[in-house]
Amino acid sequence: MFCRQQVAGLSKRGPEIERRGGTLVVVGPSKPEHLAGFRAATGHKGPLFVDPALRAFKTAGLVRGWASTYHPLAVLKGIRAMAQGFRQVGRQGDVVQQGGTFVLGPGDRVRYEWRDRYAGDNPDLDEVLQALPSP
Amino acid sequence: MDDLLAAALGQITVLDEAGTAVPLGSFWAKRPVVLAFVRHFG
Repeated sequence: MFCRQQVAGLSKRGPEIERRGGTLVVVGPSKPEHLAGFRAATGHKGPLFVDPALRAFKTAGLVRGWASTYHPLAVLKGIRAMAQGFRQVGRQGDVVQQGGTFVLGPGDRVRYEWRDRYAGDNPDLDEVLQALPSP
Repeated sequence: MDDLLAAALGQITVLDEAGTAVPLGSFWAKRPVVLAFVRHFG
């Protein structure tokens, strides 16, 4: 449920990302055949990829473990996400892998980095957008 | 340190819907990106 909520939230800010000259790129830990369904569910039309070997996840330093998936705050946020209509419909991929959000470039420049501490610990989207160049 | 992270991530290839390998760094060579890692596609 958190992933759809996270990407739906980011996709909604797509026009602002583009106005700042940016592109939204989404990477998941799953397999290529899971991508079409995810696109349909989130409305994300931009670049979408899988990292089955988790090489990018590991390089980005993203947390992996059951403790972070069932962190008390994750459970609380899950209840809230369900109330907002973000239901998790079957899990595809590595369920104990946590996510993160980065603003990079142009070139090898890191403008913003956020690593989820537990499931559903998504960044403030205003902060993400402000890390992009001014429009 | 930070820029090393961008350089290291940029060299990693990911797979698109057709299973084609794409280097991540190609997206931020010329313009900025919001790179979102999602936990799973459920």
